[in-house]
Amino acid sequence: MTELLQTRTTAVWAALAGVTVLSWAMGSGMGISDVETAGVVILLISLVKVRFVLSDFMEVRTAPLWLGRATDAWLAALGIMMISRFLIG
Amino acid sequence: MTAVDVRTAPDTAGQPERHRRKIPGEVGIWMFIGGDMISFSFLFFLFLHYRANDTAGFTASQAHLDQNLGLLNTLLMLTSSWLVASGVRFAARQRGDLAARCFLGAVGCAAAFAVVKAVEWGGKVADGHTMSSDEFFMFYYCCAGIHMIHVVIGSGVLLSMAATVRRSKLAGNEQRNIESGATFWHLVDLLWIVLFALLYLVGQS
Amino acid sequence: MAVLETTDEPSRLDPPVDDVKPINTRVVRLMAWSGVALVISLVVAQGLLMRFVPPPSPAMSAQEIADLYIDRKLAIRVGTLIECIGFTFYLTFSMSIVVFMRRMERGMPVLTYTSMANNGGGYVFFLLMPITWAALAFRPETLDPALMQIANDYVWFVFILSWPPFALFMVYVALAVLGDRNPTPVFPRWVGFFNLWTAVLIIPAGLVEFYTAGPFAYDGELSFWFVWFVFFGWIMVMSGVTLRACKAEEERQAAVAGRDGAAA
Repeated sequence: MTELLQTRTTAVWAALAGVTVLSWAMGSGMGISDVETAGVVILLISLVKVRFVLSDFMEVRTAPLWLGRATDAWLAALGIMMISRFLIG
Repeated sequence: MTAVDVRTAPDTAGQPERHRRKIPGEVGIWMFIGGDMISFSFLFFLFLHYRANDTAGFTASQAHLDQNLGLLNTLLMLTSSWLVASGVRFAARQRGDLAARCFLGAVGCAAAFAVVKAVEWGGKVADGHTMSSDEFFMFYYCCAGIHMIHVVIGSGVLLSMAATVRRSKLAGNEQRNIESGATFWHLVDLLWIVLFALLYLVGQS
Repeated sequence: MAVLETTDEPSRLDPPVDDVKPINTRVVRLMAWSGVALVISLVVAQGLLMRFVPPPSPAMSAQEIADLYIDRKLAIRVGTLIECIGFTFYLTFSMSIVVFMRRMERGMPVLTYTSMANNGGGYVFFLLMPITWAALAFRPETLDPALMQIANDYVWFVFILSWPPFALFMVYVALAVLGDRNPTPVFPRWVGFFNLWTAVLIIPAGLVEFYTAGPFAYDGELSFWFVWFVFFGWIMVMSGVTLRACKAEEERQAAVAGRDGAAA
């Protein structure tokens, strides 16, 4: 089972779990007092995490390029949509 | 890929040549994934849209959530995804025994996720926060509920994947189905990552 | 996924391609087009005439519902008449898919049989809708508004809460498509995943039981607009897919006939 632990996938998992725990340890709003800034940061972090899940766990990194472009386009659209709807009250 | 040493494989995959690029699973599963991503994006938009009309109410209701339980579930989801990704790699190297263990471990994570969710929901209902309490709790229960349907379907898929890899050598189409099933499970993980941010975190400071 | 674990090798159950019974594509084409007719009748009757797209809000009072039926009673009667015909086409449309599912299955055609029984029951739910509306618009002035409100809710519940048999049919289609071992698949494989996707997507329709307002109510963004686009979009896509399969079947029949002619 040791080979299970020595891969890029494992590194990505550790990094994602680490970021999740770290942002929790920094407090609900990541220690940022301004609700809007904190919200945008939280949304951006979640999208970065999603991109790692896509590229490494879902193997988009080694997939044909069109797939990566499509998922990146979705991520960008989702990010713009969520952040703008969040900020425009 | 079978002949490649496991420890060096990630590095060679790091500089993929054009002819080696291959779609995980098959194109059809990616249509499904894309369709589901678009539907959930609509759900995420609706949440923020309703939230914008009652920011104070949403923030007040959100304060009743236990973020530790949400965090625990996020870690369970990430771990299950990691196990599934590792299982697929083992399956590709004809290590069905290890792959089956990974997939069953992921099902274990999924079961733990469901237990945490049940405890969380039970506590909220006991406190009087039900799915008809207010708009925030409507989204809280419905979004997580729709996600939970995916968890249940995905667990079934993972169990059949474990049964498949345990049976000696994989045929080409079985390898493809394993990858498709794994891709679906990662979708369940990534949707939860966004849901966790929206339901538990956004709006707090 | 266990059901998909078929080997690529043909088994002794596989009949030679030439032995496959020819399909009367003229009839099946008409049946596939009837799905398009269903969607058009929905838009014309329920949308333009009855103006029930989207549904009246479940938050409306009993008196408001009663007034609505009194105002629109003539349009509702004409609309329901059209819709009774249009919705019957659910049976013909769905059976055009089942005919091709039979081609995909080997041995005992379990999914084909199950789908036949399922669809025979499914279109009854469709017909119940316009029939109930017609009854409500028959003498709306003398009906108790409270009763009217319950009956109006009931129609929408019949239509939206009856999603499980329709979702299951999509799953049957998906299983048949993904288990298809014909050298040339009858339907492309993406159709299987498309059906799984639509089956999952209409599940949230069940939430209409809990809300009189918001996205999950029966006039909501999700339970109405989204589910309806998915379901009626599914009908249009499947009509198109079936028509393409008809074309392939005609070409196959022509090829077999040409070779038989050459042999004779």
